[in-house]
Amino acid sequence: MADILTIGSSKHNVKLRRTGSNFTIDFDNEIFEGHFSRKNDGRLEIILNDNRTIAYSDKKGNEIYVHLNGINYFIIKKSVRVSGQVSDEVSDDVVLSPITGKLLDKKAEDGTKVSKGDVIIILEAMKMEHRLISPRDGVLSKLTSAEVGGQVKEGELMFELEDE
Amino acid sequence: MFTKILVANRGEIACRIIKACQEMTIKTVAIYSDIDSESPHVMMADESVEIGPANPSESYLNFDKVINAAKETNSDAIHPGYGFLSENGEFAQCVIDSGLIFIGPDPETIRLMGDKAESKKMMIEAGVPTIPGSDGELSGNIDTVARDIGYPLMVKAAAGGGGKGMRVVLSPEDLESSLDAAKNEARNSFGNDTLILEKFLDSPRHIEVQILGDNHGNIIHLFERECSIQRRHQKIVEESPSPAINNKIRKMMGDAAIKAAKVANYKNAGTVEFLYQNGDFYFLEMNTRLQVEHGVTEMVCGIDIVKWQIKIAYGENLTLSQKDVKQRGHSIECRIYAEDPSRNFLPTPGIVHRMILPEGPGVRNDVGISEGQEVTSAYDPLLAKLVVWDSDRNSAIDRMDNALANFVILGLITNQPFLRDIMQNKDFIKCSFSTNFVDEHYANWAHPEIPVELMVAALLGTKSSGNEPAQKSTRDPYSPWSSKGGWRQGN
Repeated sequence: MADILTIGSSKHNVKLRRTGSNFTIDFDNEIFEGHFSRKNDGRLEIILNDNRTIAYSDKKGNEIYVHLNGINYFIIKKSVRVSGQVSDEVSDDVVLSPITGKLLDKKAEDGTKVSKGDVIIILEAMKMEHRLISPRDGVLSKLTSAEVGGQVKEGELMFELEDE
Repeated sequence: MFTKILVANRGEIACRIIKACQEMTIKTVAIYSDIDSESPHVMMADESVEIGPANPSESYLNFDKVINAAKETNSDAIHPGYGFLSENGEFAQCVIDSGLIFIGPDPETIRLMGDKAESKKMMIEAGVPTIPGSDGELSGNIDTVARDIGYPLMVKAAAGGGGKGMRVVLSPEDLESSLDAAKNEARNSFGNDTLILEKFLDSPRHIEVQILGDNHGNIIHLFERECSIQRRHQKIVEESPSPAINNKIRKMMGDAAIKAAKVANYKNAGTVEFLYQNGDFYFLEMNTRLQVEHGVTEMVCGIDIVKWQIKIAYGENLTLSQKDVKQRGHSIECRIYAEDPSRNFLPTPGIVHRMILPEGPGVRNDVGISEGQEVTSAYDPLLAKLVVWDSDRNSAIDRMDNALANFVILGLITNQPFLRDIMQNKDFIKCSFSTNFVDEHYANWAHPEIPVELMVAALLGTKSSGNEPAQKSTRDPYSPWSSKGGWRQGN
């Protein structure tokens, strides 16, 4: 069993084994060993190469939140049975919402021909506009059914492109 | 003193104002939109009134709803905070007309200072330095006007905005072509091709002076704040005193700010903003409200600005005199936003699962979120203002860097690593920066490399998933979890 951890746009293959307070981690095919202890207040102390680090973490579903050295990370975890290559699930054909926010406008309808660079969807979050453009020439399909003025969530499918 | 104040705002500033009221034993009323029903400001206030949907124009910006909430609750006064209705002269007038007190300057002052052209004219007449330029429409020999102002200069459409009809002119040879281009752009964009010339400041600092004035003609300043560290024209790090100016400039700036406040007949707390470059400073605008960054002034001067706002609005005399106000030590504020600095400061809404604030000597947290709360895309992504104080600037920088490292917010991506980079930046530490600082240093900021420890924490932290008693160690000798044998926990 291995895990794929996604942080922003970077994906990492991670395998962790623990024995008591020791752990061995395979992080993108590099092996590290260290030990850890859990504190009563929820902190995790990690000792790796004589370096001591304190982390806080929490999770919900497949989301993991970690605070480490003043950085608040947002991690998506996916477990895979085979420790194979990380597959690219998101291709040029699929455009997801980069933000959680309001759908301001849909500039085209399903089935219409669009060109690379065309603005397809306009979103708004915290008074800022975000334009989602077509990554290539193609035919628009599976345009989001969210209504103009309604909310969309980060990672939600906005539209797909099919070949003509 | 007032019996009850309605706070017409949300987030950290509403909490800040409610705290001041609590200390003055004044009752408070919070207003909230439907998605804010469990926000900290609602929890803190004595009473609260729901005033409509998330969209600000239907709630926090709606005159009638805000004023009706104040009347229904028998409030004496309304504190607008910053943003929303705080600089709306028409709203201030409506508050007064409905028999309530508006905690801020007169409506006429708000209106006047909101008009950039009119306020500039007023400052010139009062002898407050403004950015040198042609006053009004260009006429006569433009070459001479340009030479008098000095190069580099800027051609601007009088009716302009948003960068349209604007040209930077570096030398006399470029003047004519720049004028032509700006004229065309101005005509097409605004239907008005009137141009003005202004001196171009290529690397200015933003330095502002805090003002307090009462209803009886007393006006003092609480010295300056340095606010040059901005992203997308919004301040993210502020400090006081400004490391860029000496005591002579400091005094001149303070005097100019008082002059500006006097000519505007200024009452209550306000801020006179200046641009500063090469020993000269120029009036930029006056903000007729409490500023986001008022905390650094409070730390350095030891004066509670919000309490003074309330006392002044009630009609009390400003009992502080200018010579009572002293700057002591150094204070820095960092604005903690739910945004991703590696993606052009894109807002990053989410749920706050856990929050642990940094503490220790000289650390102040002005926070507007709480655990379990959802930070939505409906409002400004400011989560908290982290303010530190120490005896000198370098110590304050170290204290801030450390406090940022210990500010835990689980569930959101925040700009903390970016702020820490600034605290460690050599030019920032050397005080060598202008408003161009973020663009010059961080045009392509990227997150630091992912440490192995992060992966360890992500996987170890979650395998226990926190709260199951089986994973918790206990010192209780009778606890079944410390029993050594005999039975096994189910799995």
